[in-house]
Amino acid sequence: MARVKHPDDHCANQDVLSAYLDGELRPGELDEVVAHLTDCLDCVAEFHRIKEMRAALRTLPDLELPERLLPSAHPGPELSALLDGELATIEQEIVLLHLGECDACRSEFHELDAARTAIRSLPGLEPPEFLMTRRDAARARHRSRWRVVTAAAAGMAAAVAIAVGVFGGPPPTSPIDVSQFSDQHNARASLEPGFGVIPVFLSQGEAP
Amino acid sequence: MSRSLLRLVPVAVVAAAVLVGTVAPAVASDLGSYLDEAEASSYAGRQATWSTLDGDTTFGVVSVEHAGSMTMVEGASGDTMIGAGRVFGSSGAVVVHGWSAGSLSDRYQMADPQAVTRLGRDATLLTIQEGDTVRARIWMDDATSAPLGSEVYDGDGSLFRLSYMLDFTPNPTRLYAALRDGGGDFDVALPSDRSSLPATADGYGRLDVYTGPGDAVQAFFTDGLFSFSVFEVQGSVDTTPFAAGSTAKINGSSYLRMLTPTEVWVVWKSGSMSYVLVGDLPPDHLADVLAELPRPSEANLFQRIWRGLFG
Repeated sequence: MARVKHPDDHCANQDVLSAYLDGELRPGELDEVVAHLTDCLDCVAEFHRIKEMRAALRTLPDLELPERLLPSAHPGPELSALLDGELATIEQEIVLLHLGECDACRSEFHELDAARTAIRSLPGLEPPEFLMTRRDAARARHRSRWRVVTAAAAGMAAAVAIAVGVFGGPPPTSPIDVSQFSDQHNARASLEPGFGVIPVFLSQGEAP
Repeated sequence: MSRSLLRLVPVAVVAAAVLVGTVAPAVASDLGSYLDEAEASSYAGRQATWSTLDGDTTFGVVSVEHAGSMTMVEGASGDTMIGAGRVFGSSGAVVVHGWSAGSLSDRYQMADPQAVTRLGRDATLLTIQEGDTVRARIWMDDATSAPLGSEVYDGDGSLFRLSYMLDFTPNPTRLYAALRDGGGDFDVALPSDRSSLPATADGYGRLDVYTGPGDAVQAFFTDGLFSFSVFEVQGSVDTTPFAAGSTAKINGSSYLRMLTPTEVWVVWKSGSMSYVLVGDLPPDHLADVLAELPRPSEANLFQRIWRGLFG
């Protein structure tokens, strides 16, 4: 998308007014802004709006974002869900991406996997061989060999899956800020007559 | 389009908004006329919006000032100016360049308007039918043609979205200075022909396609009453912002879906592409639309092996 400067170049923009409020303007710039504010009602209005907004922001309580929503948060329960194949495709890719970068989570993931494998490989309730008939014993040996083969195949498949999923890497996640999607949709939707009647707008930042 | 011409557009539109905002409403004879008059009205007030979907409920209150085709929305996280193809907010600005005119779908019929009282004001209740189903009800202020409230219904007759003005000021005076943007850069969404999506989906026409943020492509669909955009993105998208969403089975496929008071978001991946749908369409329309868009990818070979081995 093209990026364009705002047309009101002659007016003090938000950045300049913010710098003015922060006391960050140099003396020459300060004089210019003060002179401009004396004869530009729009900028005076804008100045007061920014000032009011800042005052309002100061009164807002601090909100703590749940840790699981932080981009850097460790997946935790999602590791188990990954092993169970219960994650949506996109969630799975996020977790796999994290596993590729986080030694601690990768270690936890392998421990979790090993624990599950160990539980699944616990002996069943088959009687000792000396209590079986010869045919039952032969079947049991066959099942035992098959279990070994299955476990080996499972181990190989798991290793391949992890290698492909974690180290082979899913396609990189796009760095797009999806909140821009809401703005761009609303920009276009605002051209439709139904837009202002069935409300489809909220302040920026309240969308994702 | 030249850069200098682009610079002129916002000024022209704000001027147009000021002019249009002072036009007295005419007598509306059909739904399209009511919508046009609502867009040209001038009012201010606090607006509450509530939406519910499959047990998820969201609610939000914003202050709204509307004049002509421009709306200033003041929410907890800052001010946003929306209208005439542009959104200006504290975190950025975007302008769509060029657009195609759509029309109200003939699947909607309007019942006889009813005279009612809303917020102590004379108003007209419009009931919009879609076949035998009530799809929406809208309360219009008689004096200004402004919308005082609206309800949108799902296909099964259940209420999906409710929006109403908590207080209402007709023809406010402080609008026009506030409508001026504070400055800064803005992104321009240029027309594109790269969309792979169908020209229509469940009666919604794909009116325009634009370049989007990054390499995304936006396809805009509307039926004249509701609208949505589908953004096509190569590869995966960061779904962290959708942490409040949940996996929803729609038409037998799994989607990541999130509801905000005024929008529904759906994210899915199909092949090497990711899709992000955002819009205000009701749930039954959403399901029918998704049925006509690329389906989410099934599990790949390794996922199937994994599930086959470990359940």
